Amino acid sequence: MASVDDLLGRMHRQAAALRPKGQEPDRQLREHLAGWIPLAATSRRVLESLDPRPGEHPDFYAVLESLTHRRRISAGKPDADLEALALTVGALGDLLDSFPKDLATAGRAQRSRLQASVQAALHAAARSTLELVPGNEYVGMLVGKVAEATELAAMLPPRARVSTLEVLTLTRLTADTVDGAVQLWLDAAEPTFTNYRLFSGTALQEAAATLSLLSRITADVLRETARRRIIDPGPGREAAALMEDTAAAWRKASAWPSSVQLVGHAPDHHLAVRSVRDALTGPPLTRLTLRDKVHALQSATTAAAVIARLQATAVVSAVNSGGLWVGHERPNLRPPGVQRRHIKWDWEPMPPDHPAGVLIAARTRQAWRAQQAATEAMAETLRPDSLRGTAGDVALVESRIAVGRWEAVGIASRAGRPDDEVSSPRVQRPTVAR
Amino acid sequence: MTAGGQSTGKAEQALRLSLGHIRNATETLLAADSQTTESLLLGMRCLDLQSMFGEVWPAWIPNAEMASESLARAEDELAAILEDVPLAIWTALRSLREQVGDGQR
Repeated sequence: MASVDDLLGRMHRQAAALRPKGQEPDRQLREHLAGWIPLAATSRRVLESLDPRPGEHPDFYAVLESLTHRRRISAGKPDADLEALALTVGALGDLLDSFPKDLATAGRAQRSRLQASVQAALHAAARSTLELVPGNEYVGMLVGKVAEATELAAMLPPRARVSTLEVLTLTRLTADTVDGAVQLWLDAAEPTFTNYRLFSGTALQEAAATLSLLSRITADVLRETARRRIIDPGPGREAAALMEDTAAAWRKASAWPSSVQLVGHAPDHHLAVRSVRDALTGPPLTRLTLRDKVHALQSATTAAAVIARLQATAVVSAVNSGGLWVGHERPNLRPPGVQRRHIKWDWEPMPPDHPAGVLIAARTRQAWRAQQAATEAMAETLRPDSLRGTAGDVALVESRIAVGRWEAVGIASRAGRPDDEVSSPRVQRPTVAR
Repeated sequence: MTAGGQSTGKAEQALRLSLGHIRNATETLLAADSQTTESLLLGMRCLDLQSMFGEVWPAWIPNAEMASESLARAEDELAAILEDVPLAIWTALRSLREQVGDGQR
């Protein structure tokens, strides 16, 4: 799983870490220029896709285009750090390309914010290269133009660059990941719970129990991320409490009395819930860092909310239509004068107003309502601007960029010292648990 | 005649009874007062076991036992018809019985 937020965080860290290595400046410059070829290409792709009116900035895109054609000058091995940054920007472009509708409906402001975030990293990269360019060479001029065009974005306060598009997450459709397994479960649940011939009491109980497990694990992870202040602690704890309530509600909804049944066989659904359970209790979740866990679980919970609705609808429909069976006692009567020897237990169709059915439906509705509230609270808690860790990272990177620039403009004697800021222990210490 | 169809042979009856006991264990584990994740996972494993019975119509047996007792009864039912029991069901039931201790109500 990768989210825009994750990639932005990585991109900013990589950009902030770019600096001259101190030896053989000519070779370094050649490597940097070779590194600009993929960086300019991927950046252009991302920025243009976000630009509501790319035609208004032809010069900027032309400069990036020119940098991608500097093969004659920069033949040779590209700078590894710059190349890694280009790779991250490229991955960001791939991810954004997967969400054309979200980009189209996000609105200009949100797209511009994300654009500014990319431009800020580009600015840091450009300034890093400019430190290696000795004079007014053509290439130096091109990189200088990039630095100039992206300067404003770099100076924006980090919060002004936070975009709702940062929540976009690409899920791998595989049972090897928690969110992938839940997505596959959703694919199996949809045909199962919308066809009364397919769903069974066991499948409905399995769905409720799995939703309970997912909610409980999510509650634990939310509580821990709040405790470590990876997310806003107050809303984080509230979301965890709601998720805990949801877990308890689904647990109740899963515990059908054994006197109620709906026979059927839903093998696809069964395999899907087993995969989810394995993912939640095994390496796909445990191997993740806390921060990645919370992201994976948010994605999983969002998909699970749809399953919850499908399950609740199916249960209520089965109860209301009299589709369930209920156990009852049938006296095994003997002819007059012969003692009744035992009672026979049997099944009969359950009427819609049967107390057991009413209870099952009520518990399911309650669980579904709890799920809605908890899912919304979690989404609200994990909105990008409340991700304190990320905001901190961006802030540090931004400080370095902005401080460097302000000092270059205003205090000539300290113009060459932006790296001092970066090399301070405070700046280097990561603030996000990854 | 029951709701599930014709009464058949001894094997089918044993499967029905065994499934009925497993359903009781499922209810006991999922409705456990402790509400622990452990009992939830065990309840889910009981649901796995139920799924393995396919479309066998369960017998209804009033639930008044601990989960471990219900599973023991389920095993007893199957032990009587062992050669007719799918191996997967038998091994899964044995494994589950070992995990569900006497403390699981």
